Order: sequence, then C-alpha cells, then structure tokens
Amino acid sequence: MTALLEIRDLKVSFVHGKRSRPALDGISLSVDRGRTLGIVGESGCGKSLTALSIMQLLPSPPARIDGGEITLTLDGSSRDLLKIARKEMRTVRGREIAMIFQDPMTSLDPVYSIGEQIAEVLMTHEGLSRPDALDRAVKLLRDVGISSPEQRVRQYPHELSGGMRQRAMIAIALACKPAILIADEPTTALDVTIQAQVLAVMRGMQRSLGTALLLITHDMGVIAEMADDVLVMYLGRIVERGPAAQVLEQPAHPYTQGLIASLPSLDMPHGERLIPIQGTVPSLAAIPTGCRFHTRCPHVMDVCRREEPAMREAAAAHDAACWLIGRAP
Amino acid sequence: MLRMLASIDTKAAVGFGLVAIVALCAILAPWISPYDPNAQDLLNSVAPPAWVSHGGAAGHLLGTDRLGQDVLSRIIYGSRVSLVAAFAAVIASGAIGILLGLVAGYFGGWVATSIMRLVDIMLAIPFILIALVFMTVSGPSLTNLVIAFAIARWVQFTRIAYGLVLELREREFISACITFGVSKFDILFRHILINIAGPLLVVATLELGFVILIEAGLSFLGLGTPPEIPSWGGMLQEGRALINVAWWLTTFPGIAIMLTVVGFNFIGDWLRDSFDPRTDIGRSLADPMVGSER
Repeated sequence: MTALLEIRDLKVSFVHGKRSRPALDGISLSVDRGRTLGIVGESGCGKSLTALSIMQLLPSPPARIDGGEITLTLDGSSRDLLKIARKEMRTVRGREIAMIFQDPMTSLDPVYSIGEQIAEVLMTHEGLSRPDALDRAVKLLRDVGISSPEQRVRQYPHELSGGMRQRAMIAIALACKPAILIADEPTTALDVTIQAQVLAVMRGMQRSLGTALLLITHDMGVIAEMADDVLVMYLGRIVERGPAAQVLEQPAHPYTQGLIASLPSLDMPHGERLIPIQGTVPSLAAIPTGCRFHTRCPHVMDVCRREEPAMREAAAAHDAACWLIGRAP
Repeated sequence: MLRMLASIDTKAAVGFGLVAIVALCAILAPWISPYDPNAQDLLNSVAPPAWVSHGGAAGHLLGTDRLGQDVLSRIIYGSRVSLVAAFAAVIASGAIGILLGLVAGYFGGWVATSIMRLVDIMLAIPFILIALVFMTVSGPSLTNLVIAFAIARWVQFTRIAYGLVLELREREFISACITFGVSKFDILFRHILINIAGPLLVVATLELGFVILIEAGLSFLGLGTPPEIPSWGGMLQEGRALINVAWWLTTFPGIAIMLTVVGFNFIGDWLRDSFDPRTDIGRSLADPMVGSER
C-alpha cells in the first residue's frame, strides 16, 4: 500500500548569484493516515524547509528545488505536488494539507475575528454560505476545547491568550478535515502547561479525523508525547529514523544521543550538569566532508572524515547513518 | 472605533472643526452665502469690509473685489473647488498608487523593480513642474487638475504601501493564509490592504491638505480652475494687483486656505498618532486591554 504522503529524495538548495548551497540533500520520508511523524533537529537543519517544500511555500528565489518527488496519495490516486499546477496546489492547501505555525501571535490576521478567519477557509473550500460557515466555526472552536465558543467566535486575536490562539489556529487548520496536518513547532511559543493542553487537543482531533500529523519540533519531550515515528535531521540530511520509542530509548546516531543527553530531566541527581553537544552547527556554505556530524562527534574516526556513511539498520525498522553501527563496540 | 473617537485631543478637535466648517460651507453654499458669488455691483467695487471704521460697505462682511463681487460669498463658494479638487485628486492618486504599491510589494521581482524605479524617477521630478506642464498643455479645468494630481502624486502612496506590504508579507498570518488555500486576490485585498489601511489613511489626509495648497497655487498662476469658477487661488491672483489698496482681497482667501490645510494636517497628525503603537492613543488601539482596564 502506498503511503498517504511520500517524499522521495528531495533536494533543495539556496541560490545566491552563481553559487548554490544545498539545504536539503536527499530527504525521504513517508507518513500514513492517523500516524504522527516527528521531525527533530537543531535550528537550520532543514525541518521547516521540508514542511515548506510540501506546501510549495519555499521562498523562491533564493530557494530552488533540485529534484525529488512529493507524492500525495488520496483515494487511490497519486499526485506529485512538485509537478501539479499552481491552481491545483491551492485546492491542496487547506483542504488536503493544512499547516500551523510556531507563533500564534502572528499567525492570525489581527483585523478579523476568529470566526471570520475560520469561516473564510470554509467558504473558500467548501462553498459554505457565510452564516453556515460561522455556525461551523462555533462548533470547531468547541471541538478544540475553547469555552463559550459563541462569544469567542466574535473576538479578535489580540483578545485571546496564546494557548487560545493556537487552538483557534488548529480549528482553522482542521476546518476542512485535511488528510495531513503539518505542525511547525506548534508549542514552542507556549507555556509548558498550555503546551500539554494544545498537544492533547491536536491528538484528540487527530484521532477523531484520522489526520496524519507531521510534527516538526526540537523538543524531544514533545516527540516522546506525540510521535509514532521519528526522523532526526542534521544539516539537510536525515541521520536517523525509526519508531519513536525505540529511537528515544536506544538512539543509534551520536547526534541523536547528544540531543537526548542535553535534555534536563527531573530524576537527574542535583548538581549534575547537562551535556551539551560540542560546537555549533556548521553553515551550509561549509558543509564538512565525509560525515556531516564529524566536527562535533565525540566518537569521530578516520573514516568519518573521508566518507559519508549510508543509512544502515541499527534495529528492526530503525536506521541511522553512522559508521559505528555494526562495528564491534 | 469608539475608543478612537474618545482619544480625540484638542488639536484633533480643532482639525475636525475646521474641516467641518469648510465642508458645511461647500455643501450649504447656495443657502448661506449672502450674495451670488458672480453678481457684480460696480457701484460698490473694491469696498472694504463692512466692519472697517471708515468706508466699510454695509452688507459686505469681507468687502468686495474689483467687479463689486462679495468676497465672503466667493470664499464660501471657493471651498467647493478646494474640497472637490482635493478629494477627487486624492482618491484618484490613492487608487493608482495603492494598487501599484500592493502589486510591487506582494509580487516582488521584476514587477517591483520596474514600479519602484518609476517611483524613483517621479520623485526626482519636482511635482510643481509636472503639474505646470500638464496644466499648460491641457488647459485649466477642474478635471485636468485632478488628472495632474493623479499622475504626479500616486508615488506618495506607492512608496508607503510598498514598504508596508514588504513588512507585512513576512508576517506569519500571510503564510498561514496561503497554507489554508486563500486566493491571491483575497490575500492582497482582504488581508494585506486592510492591515495597511491605517497608515495609508494618514497619507491620504496629509495629501488632502497638500492638494488644496497646490490647487490654490496653480489657480494663482492661472493654471488651476477657469476664472469664472470662484476659487481661493483665483481670488489671490485677482487680488494681487490691488494688494496695496485692498488688503482684504488677498488676506481672507489666504486665511481660508491656511485654516483648511491646517485642519487636514491636524487630523492627519492625530491619525498618525492613533496608528502608532509607541503613543498612548496608538497603544490603546493596538491593545484594547489597556483602555478597558483604566
């Protein structure tokens, strides 16, 4: 069976004059109905770029797609999103794939009420009349756990708290029951307690609608909470992929190990220091030869500096791109 | 909106008052002006205002001109020319300028480059030169005056609109609109235009004052409205020859021009403050919680 959304060998680069810098280098992933795929990595690793590629929202120029396929399979028919016409893409956006952003403060239009913004999507895609769309908006707000939605629907974004706004965003995104929801750092800008509530809302909506969720985050905690599968990215490449529980408990790639080790946890003995990953992410202009992570890797070997490792199986359905895998410890 | 009205200060009130008086004069001209503005009374020509101690002509509050026409009536009728010219010119130049600014800002690329280079060129030519040349070629009339303003002043709107759109385009809600499949047209006019309407309104108000001033200047040079239509600039022109003996012919139209322009500029200043989040009024508008908790 083909996956709902499948990306194969996606390559994107930034072009400045005659130079081009690869930003995504052969990304492949797939996500199925009702599943949650988490994408983790530091800033600048290409997480958001992957999401924007799917939505065809890459800032171009400077971004340029050099190759690959993004296949959306709905009701048995497949389309390559990189090849379809702009007009068709507009019906995909919002109706089949929706996206929510990091900062709920700026992702709602300040001059329209919440209800009007939900109604706009419903009127665009489902051809509802304005009163019908507003009725549906009230129902959607109730679905995402906003109390007294009849009043809230008339309120403007500045009258709502951050958590409320993000819920409203979720309501807009899920208004047309899209098959896929892309969430780019949906809880990063929120308080921890609100984070948990918003994640719960997303999960609840996902269950009732069967939406596939592409969750982009740098927060391993969110991954542990939400994801079925996880994909770790570093400098435009996938370095590890596998079932979330497996990857979190037995990370195979030193980068993933580093990300997890740098997380604070409650049962850590008092006074113990967090272990940061050494160094900083190299710039796209100076991608290291061999394994991209070798400049920061604690286990670096000669081969790492010369040759880039391919994905190898670390456990069942769990792959990582590291020379250490399969070696005798 | 109510909060905005509540924030009107003295200066803004003066501005609104002045503009209201001018607007009332323009609307009610036939009923409130004491004489027909073109009625000549040669026996009473160049009569000083009625209240001047010696020689004031009874019944002519602001005196009469060389043809014995009542100055007050001509000023009242002249407000029509000023306001019609001002609003028509600003609507025309605003429509062209805002549209081009939106297109340039949103689509970018060569479209933006060509529009903005044209703006640079227009800004490099003194406005009065464009207006003079155009009016000389096409002849004095109110319509030509409006056309002259439209072709010369749209750049003011384009410049501001372009900058605002550039800033707004980076905001996430515009990306969010795209991801929800909202059409380009709706994004441009329903989301971007509405969000930049405030600052553009400020520009429009200040332009109104400017147009009135320039209209008077062009009429003074004989290139504005035709002489048979009473206008403030035209009155200045007619009174210029007699400025040594009849000060009232130039003083009162001059005051009318000044007060109207001041009125529009005061309103413009207040609007600017209202839309600027760094001022008290602006903050209370941007964040209604500030106002409601006080």
